[in-house]
Amino acid sequence: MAGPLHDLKAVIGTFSTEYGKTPLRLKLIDLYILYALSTALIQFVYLGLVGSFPFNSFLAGFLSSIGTAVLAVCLRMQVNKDNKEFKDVPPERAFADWVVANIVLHLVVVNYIG
Amino acid sequence: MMAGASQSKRLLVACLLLSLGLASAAGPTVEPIGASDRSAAVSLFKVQDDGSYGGLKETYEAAKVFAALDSFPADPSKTFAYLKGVKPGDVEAAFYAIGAAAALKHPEAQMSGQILVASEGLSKGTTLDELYHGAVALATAKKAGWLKKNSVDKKTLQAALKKLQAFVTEDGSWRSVDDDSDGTALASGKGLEAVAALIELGLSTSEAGVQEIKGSVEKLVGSAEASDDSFVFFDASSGSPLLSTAAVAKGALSLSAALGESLPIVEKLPGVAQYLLASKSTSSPVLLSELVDALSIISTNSFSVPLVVSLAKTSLSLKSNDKLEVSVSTPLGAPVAAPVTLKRAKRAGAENALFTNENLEGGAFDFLASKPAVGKYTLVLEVEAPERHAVVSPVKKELRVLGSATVSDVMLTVEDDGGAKKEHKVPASKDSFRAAKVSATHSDKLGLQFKVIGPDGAAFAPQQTFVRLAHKSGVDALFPAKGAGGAYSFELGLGEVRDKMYHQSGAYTLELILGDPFIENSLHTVVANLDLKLPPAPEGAPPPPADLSEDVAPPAEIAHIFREPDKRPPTAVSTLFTALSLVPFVGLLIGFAALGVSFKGFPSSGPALISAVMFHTGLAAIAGLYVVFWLKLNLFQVLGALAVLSVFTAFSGHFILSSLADSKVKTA
Repeated sequence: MAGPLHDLKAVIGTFSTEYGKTPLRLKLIDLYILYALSTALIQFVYLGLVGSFPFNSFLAGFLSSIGTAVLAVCLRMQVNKDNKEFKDVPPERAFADWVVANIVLHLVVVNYIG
Repeated sequence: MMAGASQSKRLLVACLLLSLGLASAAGPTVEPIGASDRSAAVSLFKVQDDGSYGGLKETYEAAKVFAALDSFPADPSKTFAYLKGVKPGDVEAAFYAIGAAAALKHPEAQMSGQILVASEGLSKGTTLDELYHGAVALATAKKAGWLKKNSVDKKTLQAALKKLQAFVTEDGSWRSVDDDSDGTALASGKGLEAVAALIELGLSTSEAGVQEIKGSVEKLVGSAEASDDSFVFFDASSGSPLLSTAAVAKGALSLSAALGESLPIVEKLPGVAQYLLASKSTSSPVLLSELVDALSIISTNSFSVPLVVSLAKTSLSLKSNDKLEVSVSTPLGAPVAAPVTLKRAKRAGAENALFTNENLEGGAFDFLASKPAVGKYTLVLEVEAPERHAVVSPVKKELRVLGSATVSDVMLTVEDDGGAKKEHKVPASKDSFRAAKVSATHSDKLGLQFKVIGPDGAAFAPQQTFVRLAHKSGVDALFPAKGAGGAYSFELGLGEVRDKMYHQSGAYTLELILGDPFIENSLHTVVANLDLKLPPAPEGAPPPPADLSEDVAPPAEIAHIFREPDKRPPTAVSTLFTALSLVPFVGLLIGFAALGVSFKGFPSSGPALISAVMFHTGLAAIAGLYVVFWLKLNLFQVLGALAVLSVFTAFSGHFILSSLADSKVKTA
């Protein structure tokens, strides 16, 4: 009985205990990434079920979601204290970069939405 | 003869265009008002059930035309009743009512109401139109004997003259209101006519104002424009030059008549009359009534009546005994006896003049006596105007001499590929041919020789010489026949026309087409009936068209293809997905709450709080700007606003974030 299902349970259990040690700040960003990706997924499902018209609006919405997620990943990498590569970058600086990148991204998105 | 109807039609159109071109090359024709103009003019005006001609103004115009052309309606009693019933209104209506009644020779004076309005208009009027309508209406009433003696006093006339003087501008033209605007020829004509009316009403001609206005006529007439055709007209730049010219001629001549002396307009009358006649139109009642009224005043003036020279026939046939008839008349068509000399008659393209200095006795001349060559002749006529008449002399006229041509020595040859020739003579009388019967194959060469002889017996080259080969199905081909000195020859390899004839064997006709603008008996006749044997059509050759009328039928209507609108899902589906896409956001909020998000980090006091609020306000403003961008703004407006907002947000953001970082360093 203790087949792959048991293993999976063990993996999930380990993951959740390990993830519990993650700082709250990073958990927030993770949740935000999840939110952006699931929004993108819903739009993609709409494209598959209903159709691509108007395509520019789809692209704007979908790329907005994906772009947001990517930017959030970048933010997470810079904010993460364990990431030695970015240890010289204070989280405030990373947040400012993230804000600027979002402003530029959404200027393009709104221009495209039609 | 359905055969090749389309081709022949095209040819006919070409010939028609050609002859039209020849006609128009002669420039505008100047003919006096003739019988056709009279009937066209009279039929332009139709009496209504109420006796009017569509309105008071229209009735006035109709009456003016009837009076000028001297062709009154048989029973004007209905119109009289209509005019009697017109209620006195403004001075313009009075002008039309009195003018129409006088022109129609209303038997009794029932215009006292209108006359009252007119005299009020003259004494109280301030614009040129009011004064003109008042003065002319009163003068018309006086002429008709409807005005009581001394009903218009001297003082009123002098005051009206003074008011009129204010409309005269520096250059002698008049304006229609008393301001600084430029004068127009139309207003000038009305002004002069009004002054003439004042004089007829009893104003003394020795008044200083009258003399001054008399002097201004010279300047006004000096502003006339002249064209190459010796036409004289006024004010081509503003409004209708026809109306302007008619108005000036009318006004200046009326003043001449009232003063009893010849004003400078008189010298210009021949050119003015030529211009008016060349641009006469019987389509608009207004234009027609002004034109005919002006022409009638010009034709009856006592100083100098311009004469119009016209030809009874502009083309003479050599077959007839027609003579060149030149008539001299007034612009309205009344004949005037005046000696005419044919100074010169020269055919276009000829070296020497055919006639010089021939006297036309009784206006007629036997132009065809010497059997002149056919063609277009330019005649130079000299007219000696009798006393108190004037004419633009010499006059140039165009005359076409027509004749008939004959075709002779028609020979049809069939030459096979071995070079053996068979000749068929086609017996031809003047207009008819006994068609030869010939059979041939695709390797044969068809030849046609013929001679064209003009009316004078010499060789003649018609403008259009074509040979047409036609199948009984209607399929045809046209070929020009080339020749020199009246002898034409045409050759056709039958193998070359196989494609054009869609490889059809069977009965064909060979036809000869001759046309010329100066030849009366243009020719289209069958010279041979052919039995052609052509090899069958190769594979893939197009079949002969089923319906030849397709050639001239209108092409298929062009259907515009518009992009079909894209399919849209039902509103419910869209709304559902809109709601669905918001679900992750709700999840985000719930997740944040579950993780225990708080705003403890938000500064609570001091400059940090202010800059934090400013920073977040800036971000919210940018988000709001994007929403407005989506709804209505364009990119450039947004970029401008974004520049301001981003500087604001960057400063406040830099301040709050660095203070946060600093505080963290301190606590660490």
